[in-house]
Amino acid sequence: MLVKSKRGQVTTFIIIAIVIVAVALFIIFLRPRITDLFMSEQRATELLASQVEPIRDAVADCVSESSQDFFITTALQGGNYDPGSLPRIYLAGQEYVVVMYKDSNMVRVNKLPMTSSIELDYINFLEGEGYIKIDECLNNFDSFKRNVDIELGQRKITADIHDEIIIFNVDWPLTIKKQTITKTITQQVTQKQAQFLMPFGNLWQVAADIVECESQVDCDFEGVKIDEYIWDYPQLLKYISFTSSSVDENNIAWILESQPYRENEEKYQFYFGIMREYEG
Amino acid sequence: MKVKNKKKITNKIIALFISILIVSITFTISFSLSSSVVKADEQFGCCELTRTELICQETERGNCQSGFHSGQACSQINSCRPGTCVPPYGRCMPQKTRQECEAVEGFWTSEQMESIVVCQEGCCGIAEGIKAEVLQKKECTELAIRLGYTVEDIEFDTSITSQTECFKKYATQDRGCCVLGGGQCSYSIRESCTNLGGNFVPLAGDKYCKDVTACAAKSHAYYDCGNLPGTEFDIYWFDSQGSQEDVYDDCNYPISICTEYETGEVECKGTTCEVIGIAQEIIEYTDKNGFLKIASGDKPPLVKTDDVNEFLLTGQSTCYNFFSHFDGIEDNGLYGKSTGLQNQILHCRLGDLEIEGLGTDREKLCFVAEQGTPTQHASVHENEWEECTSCGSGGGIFGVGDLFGPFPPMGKILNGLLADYCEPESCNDAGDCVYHEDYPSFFGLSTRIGSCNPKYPPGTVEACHECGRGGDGLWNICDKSECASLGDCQFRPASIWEGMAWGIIITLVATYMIKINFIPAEFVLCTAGSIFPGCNPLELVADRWNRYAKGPIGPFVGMLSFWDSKSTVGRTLGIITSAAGAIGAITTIMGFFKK
Repeated sequence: MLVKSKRGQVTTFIIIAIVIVAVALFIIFLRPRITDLFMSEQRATELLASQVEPIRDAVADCVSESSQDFFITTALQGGNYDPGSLPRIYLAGQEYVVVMYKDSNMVRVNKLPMTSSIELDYINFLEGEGYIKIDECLNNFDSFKRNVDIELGQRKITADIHDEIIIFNVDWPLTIKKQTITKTITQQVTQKQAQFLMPFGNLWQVAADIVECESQVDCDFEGVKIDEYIWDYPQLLKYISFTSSSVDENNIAWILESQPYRENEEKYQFYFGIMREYEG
Repeated sequence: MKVKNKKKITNKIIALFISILIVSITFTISFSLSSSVVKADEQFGCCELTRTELICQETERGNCQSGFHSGQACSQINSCRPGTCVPPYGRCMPQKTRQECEAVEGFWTSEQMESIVVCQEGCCGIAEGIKAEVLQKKECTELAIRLGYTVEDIEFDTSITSQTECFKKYATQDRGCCVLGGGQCSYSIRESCTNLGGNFVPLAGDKYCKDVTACAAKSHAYYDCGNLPGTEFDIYWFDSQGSQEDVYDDCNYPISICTEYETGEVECKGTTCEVIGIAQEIIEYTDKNGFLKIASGDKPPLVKTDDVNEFLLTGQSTCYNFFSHFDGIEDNGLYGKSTGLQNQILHCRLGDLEIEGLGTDREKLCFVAEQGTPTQHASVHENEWEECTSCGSGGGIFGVGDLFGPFPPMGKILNGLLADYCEPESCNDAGDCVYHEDYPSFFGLSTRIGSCNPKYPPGTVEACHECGRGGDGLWNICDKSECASLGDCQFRPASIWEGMAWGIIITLVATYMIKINFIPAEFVLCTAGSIFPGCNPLELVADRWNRYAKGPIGPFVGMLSFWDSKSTVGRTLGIITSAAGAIGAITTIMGFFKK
């Protein structure tokens, strides 16, 4: 009888201990939420404000990072992200997309895309794979969602190609929220511009000048013409080097390369080919 | 009889049927072949929009999303005709198709770009030089608006298309300090200060914003390349608010130019380029009349290596040529090829050398013009080598005269009468050619033995078979020097047996030709009577004819006479000898081409 009574007491204490441990665990894991629930409006506002810049920075960095491949690839393919059936010149293991050639009617055709075309191509790139890359980079804002709730707005990202830099205009309104005991505090986040330190505009400019000459009947961009160009445009060519290799007198491969002069800037290349005669 | 007639009729019907069958099969095959050619054409043409969203591409039907025009060039299609595109933003572009232009909401015209006013290039000065750049007129307008100015603030000069000249034009503008208030100041041009809404304080030569009381800038905070028009090439001090101050280092462009590096360093980088290397130069001699020739042979080099050590200024260029592997250095019997060698132009661009390769086909040559002057530049010329090997061909009667040419005393005269021969003068006139002389003329009584070959070896193999041939190819022998000059050719020396065989043949024929060459002289002397008393010219001619014409030709004539014979033995011998002659002739011809 005495043994039975002692066993019963132990059981009670065990149950009490389990309950205490469970409550402690409950408090530990749900403490932030509990704390948040009892957070004051001022504190919530401060918290939201502190998340704005990190979110803007994360978006800008991911947009820049996810877009670099597009412009690097485009530059290596004569301004075309997808060159399709444009003719090619093959030289020393490298392929050069031809952007000026004669068609079967012996008429010169300029296939170097305008910068506005490239900017439109960028939008198509985003629709196709760019947005997916951005979302992967942001990881769905998981790191921010631990502290705040995020509501995503409709996004639209465009690129402006400048001489020395590419600017991304990010129109992606976000709403971040914080629930308090009395009400939900919200904060609008408007994105900032992102940028990519690639002198795409200058590289394209030199390519356009070469193609413009070659697409005229009596102009070959060679010899003294190049010397005149160097003399006339020192500011443009200060940080752009160029090399041309002729497969033969009618097929020329051009390699333009930027020389970095800003911190964290890298070298970038712009490749393209010229075919002076119809190749069939 | 009836059976026979029936059989005849049946045979006729069968023959008629077979004839009709053969004719119809012939037509069927020819139609199907031609239709497959038509199909191939139909599969290729101009596509207005490809599956990869490219506009106006010549491609296959399968690649086309919409607007396929079979067998036509895009320039024949109205919407794909090249013309000038004036886009809403950015520069005008020539030779763009209408569809591409309209895809970016541009304006397309068939006019040439130079005739469109907004597309003309010139020096664009905005706000009296706050910005100066060579741009197209529409680009100039767009830039002004982007900077917050209006069209009235633009000065556009189409007579200046050099960036340097454009900078110089606006270098002497009225500059001063623009006081913006709150201690903020900016060193700028008056016009820009007005637009910023500040108070412009004109400053004399050595005064800057730091000298203006209202400015809280710290002087000489850092140095960088100038950012005002006309100052871009020198290094200037900047105050803590980013206003340009006095010169830190005058780079004295074009000797050097202000250059920034990714490390943040700024310096006056020299714009001269040092060219050090080894290039090639063609070795050439001239004969006593001043015409180019090369001494032929086994060893003499076609080219020699040439040390290159010179300085170029920015905007100058020089040649860096490579013509041939055969530079006189022993190649241990490997007989290396010239494949891949090309002529190059080295351009000096602000201290860096840029290479322009003229092609491994060596169809383009590089020559330096105005050497040693500030306007020294490399100029490109076509390699006119194609007509070289035809020097001395043709003329006379089937070129028979070439047989006699190299042999005195009448060789030159006979060759001149009966054919044509190549001399250094005519060779030089044929293009970029040089005469390879195997043997000189014998005191002017015979023609030279040699060939006319490209002076600058082309980068192809299409002329390699011309070695030992050419216009005067009968006596020309292919040697290493000639082979190297014909292109990317590889010389294979003749085997000892080939050499012996050719030696015997040439000796026999040469001996024969020498004797022939003496006949006219003998006739003259015989006629004169002084050397050969009692010599009858007609008997002399008859004798020489019998010995040197009828004699050798006789056996051939004899062989032919067997063919006319009515007897079986005669005809058999005629067939055998004719066949032997034919085999010999074919073998000779094959050997000629193999050579």
